[in-house]
Amino acid sequence: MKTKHRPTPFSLLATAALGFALLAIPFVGLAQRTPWSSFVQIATEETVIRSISLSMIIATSSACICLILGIPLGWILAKVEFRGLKIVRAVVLLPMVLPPVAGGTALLFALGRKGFIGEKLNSWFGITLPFTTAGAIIAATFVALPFFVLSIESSATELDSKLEEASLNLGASPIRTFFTVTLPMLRSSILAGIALSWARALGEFGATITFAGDNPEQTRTLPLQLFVALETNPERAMVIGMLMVVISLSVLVTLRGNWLVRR
Amino acid sequence: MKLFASICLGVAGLFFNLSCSTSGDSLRVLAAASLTEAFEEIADEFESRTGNKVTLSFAGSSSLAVQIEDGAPADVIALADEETFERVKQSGRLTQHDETIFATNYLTIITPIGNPASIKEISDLEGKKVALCQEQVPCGRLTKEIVTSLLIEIQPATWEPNVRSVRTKVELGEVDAGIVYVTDVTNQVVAIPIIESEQTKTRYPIAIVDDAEPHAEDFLDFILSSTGQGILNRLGFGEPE
Repeated sequence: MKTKHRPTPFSLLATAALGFALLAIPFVGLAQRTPWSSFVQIATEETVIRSISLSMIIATSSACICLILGIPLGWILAKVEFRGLKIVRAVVLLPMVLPPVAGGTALLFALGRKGFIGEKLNSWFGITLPFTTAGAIIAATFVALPFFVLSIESSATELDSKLEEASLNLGASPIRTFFTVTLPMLRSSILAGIALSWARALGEFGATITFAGDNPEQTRTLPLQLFVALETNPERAMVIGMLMVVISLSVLVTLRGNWLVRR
Repeated sequence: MKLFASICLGVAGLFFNLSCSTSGDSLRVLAAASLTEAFEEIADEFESRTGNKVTLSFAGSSSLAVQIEDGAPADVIALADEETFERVKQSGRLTQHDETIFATNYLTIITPIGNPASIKEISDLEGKKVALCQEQVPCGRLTKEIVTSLLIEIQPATWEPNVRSVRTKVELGEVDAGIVYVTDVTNQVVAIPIIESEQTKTRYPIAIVDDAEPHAEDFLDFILSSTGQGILNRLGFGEPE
């Protein structure tokens, strides 16, 4: 086996192979148990189709929200110096390491019908978020946004600010500079951020079932459907699991590792 | 390099240790979520009397069924209904012992403190924000049975994976009402009886899993003893019928 620079020590190669096997083997198990002959039939059952479309709506809306909120947030974390920056960054990244069920519980206490904001939403506007698609979108965004922000931040940090300075010196306003110079330079990391946050939102389970509950019409996304199916209809669970593997894998392959790793 | 190698060895050793499922001679009991407090108390009592350790693990009965089917290590299994138990039997891990019914239970409506949606009876749940158990768990099946027999249409806001998460959603005031077992009622909720449900009881089976620890039988006997039954009755469970 050849590497780009020098021969690879065997011990590293063996350990790496072990690591890869740990990650890959579960999917082999899933693929091997998946009832391929009835795959299409199960994947097109009404309940599954409903979950697929709910998942698509929720993941896509969530990625859009990430796009709107995540670009300014990532850019500010990368470019602006202020007191408490480290704390802000830690809070932004917290959902990546927090168990989603803890995030869902926190969302319930803030935005639930009796939460300190949710109570106002309910009494002033009659809006209740739990058990609605909107609630599921918020739960998904809560866990997906850090992935988007990190993608933007890491490339904004490396951004050469000469072009931005030139634009400012030529008399463009800071906001115009941001839109016409900065954003185009961030293009590839924005696309990577969209794909990653979309994929993360698609796979969201813990925060969703805690905050948005399991409502077949409103919040039963593919992961929730999988959870129910595991106890009632294992074949359906395998098909859904495989569907999610295929979708998520294609997103990551399309990215070609274009996240954090610059080539 | 040496450090790296010794870390590897350490991890391997630890991993080997942790993967041996026999955690001493501790008894592994899988029990339905609704049995949480009762079994914690019974296990404490059993431990202090016999000195044998008991490890409890709680989940919805249908989750436990999947765990048993997938080969989870267990000595004793206690479920909230006989239907799920029949399914567990298919796993082929309950061939050496017969099951015993050790308790009964029935359903009730609960609402948040103050009963904000003024629920008086089960038909008031139509059109309200309600949390129910998913239909594959015993409380969900029982709920469905009662609701269908009364010709009521409830569109729940959420189907929860077990009876305790129904209670949580009610306690937090996220729903107007939920349907749980009478044994799940706490002072954090208001109980509104379902008269019809007293005739629709669920019976809790318990059984020893094949090749269990020898203490498994002692634990089962203890549950059926007057002490075990006393604890269950005090927490609202009915006597085995």
